Amino acid sequence: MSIDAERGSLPWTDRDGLGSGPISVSGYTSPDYYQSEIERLWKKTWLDVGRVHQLANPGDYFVKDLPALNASILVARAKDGSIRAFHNICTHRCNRVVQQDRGNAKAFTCNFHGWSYRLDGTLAVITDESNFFDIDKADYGLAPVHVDTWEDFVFINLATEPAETLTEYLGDLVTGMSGYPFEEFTHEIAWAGDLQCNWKLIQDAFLEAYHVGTLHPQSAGPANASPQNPYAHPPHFGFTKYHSTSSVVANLGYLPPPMQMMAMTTGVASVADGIRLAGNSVSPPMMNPAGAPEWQAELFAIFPSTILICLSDFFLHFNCRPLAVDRCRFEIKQCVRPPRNASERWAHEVSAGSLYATVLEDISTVERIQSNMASGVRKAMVLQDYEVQIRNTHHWCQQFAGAYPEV
Amino acid sequence: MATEDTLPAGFEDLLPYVSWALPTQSARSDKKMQSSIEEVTAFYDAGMRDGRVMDALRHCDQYPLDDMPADARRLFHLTLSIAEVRPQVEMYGQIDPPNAVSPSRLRMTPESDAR
Repeated sequence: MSIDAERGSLPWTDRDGLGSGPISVSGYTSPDYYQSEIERLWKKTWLDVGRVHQLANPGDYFVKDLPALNASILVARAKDGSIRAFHNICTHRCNRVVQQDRGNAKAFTCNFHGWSYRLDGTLAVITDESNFFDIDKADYGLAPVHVDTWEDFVFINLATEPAETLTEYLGDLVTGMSGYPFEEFTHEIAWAGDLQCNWKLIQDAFLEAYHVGTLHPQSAGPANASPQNPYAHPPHFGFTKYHSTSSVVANLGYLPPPMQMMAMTTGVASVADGIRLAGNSVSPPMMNPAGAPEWQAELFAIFPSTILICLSDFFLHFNCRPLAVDRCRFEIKQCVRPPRNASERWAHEVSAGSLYATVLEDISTVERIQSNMASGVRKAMVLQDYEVQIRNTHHWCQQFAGAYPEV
Repeated sequence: MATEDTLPAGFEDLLPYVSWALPTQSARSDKKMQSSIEEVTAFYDAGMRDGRVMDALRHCDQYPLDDMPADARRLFHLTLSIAEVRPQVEMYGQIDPPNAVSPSRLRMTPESDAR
């Protein structure tokens, strides 16, 4: 069966109801547009900020800083078992309450004057209280932030009243990925860095496979681009609400080099390089809907900037956050089952090294592209049909934050 | 030989490479990027010859991951360095890949680095 059998004669972009024209570069370069994105998109949508398993026990917490949104969010498991989120701002004089990134606490105590908050955000202690005037502690709890979970992911929404629940926001992803064991993949091999580019540029780098053979000729290229499918065309794209999916294919003819072969003998998953391990049959409806024998992973672009690449044995978790119109903070995590011994831990290292090498290549284009776009020489970029996931992101950005201005 | 340089008995062939026994991924990456392709290839060859790295891992497997004796932990860190040099040897044949940014641009988070 041809890799393009499902597509037939109808371009993927038409199935998504999108056009085929050029996309203005101003979405990446305009400072005014960036401000519009911050106010109308980033402060109004559900953002993935952590994992449920990081909040396994009452008192477990983590802090997610979102400086471009003027926010530091404290997320905690309260005594009653619920997950709560708050602005990390003391109600006395606006100091930052929790200084650590994560931990376990019985209460959150501000280091300035010792005001102390319970895990549910209510104010328990005002030090030297009798010298305040007419204060009711009930009015001085931490400001709450909307929080909800999907599978093992914690999402927050900075809107005063979110337009949709998280379930509504995620659309068909909720049923489509039901059964995928996200909660088993708790060991995170994580990297982060600040990049001199608009957040959408680094995300674009992962939203198409067209580049894989050219930009990654020695890393991911041999494993994912084949003579039969040199541009790694996905056999399937899906679209639901603001999000898009695609099936990632492997080169079935790929012969792994010696160390990769050795790593496979440990029985631990290998990263996106053409190797699939038998025996772990996970088949939620959205995994390999085309039934392609070359299938290796399903890629989920969760608007605005979360990407999950789900293989049978583990998943990759990317996100990026804006810092300025031409800066962003980029994080990638390889999420695997906790290694049980040295061999498994070593196999993860081999696998993570392959991913890392590929991502360093992906990063190599983005800062050059940002400055080239800012030069104004080119007003727009053109996208082919298999770059439809990029087109989808731009479509929804503009639905939230307005049309990209003329260059 | 000082006690802080020992490897478990039977792994004397890897002693010339004990300086690769580094406890964090960032340290292993930095050492790799400061080495020559000849140095990392020799290290790779020593680790891959006759499946030595698998012998080393089998030795370390007898201990809990977070509770190994010092010489086994040193051997384990050495195996992680063998993994670290794989891209340079198996993919690129050079230290600096042609199409990539420096590893300094994307660093392992502190929590991941120390594991």
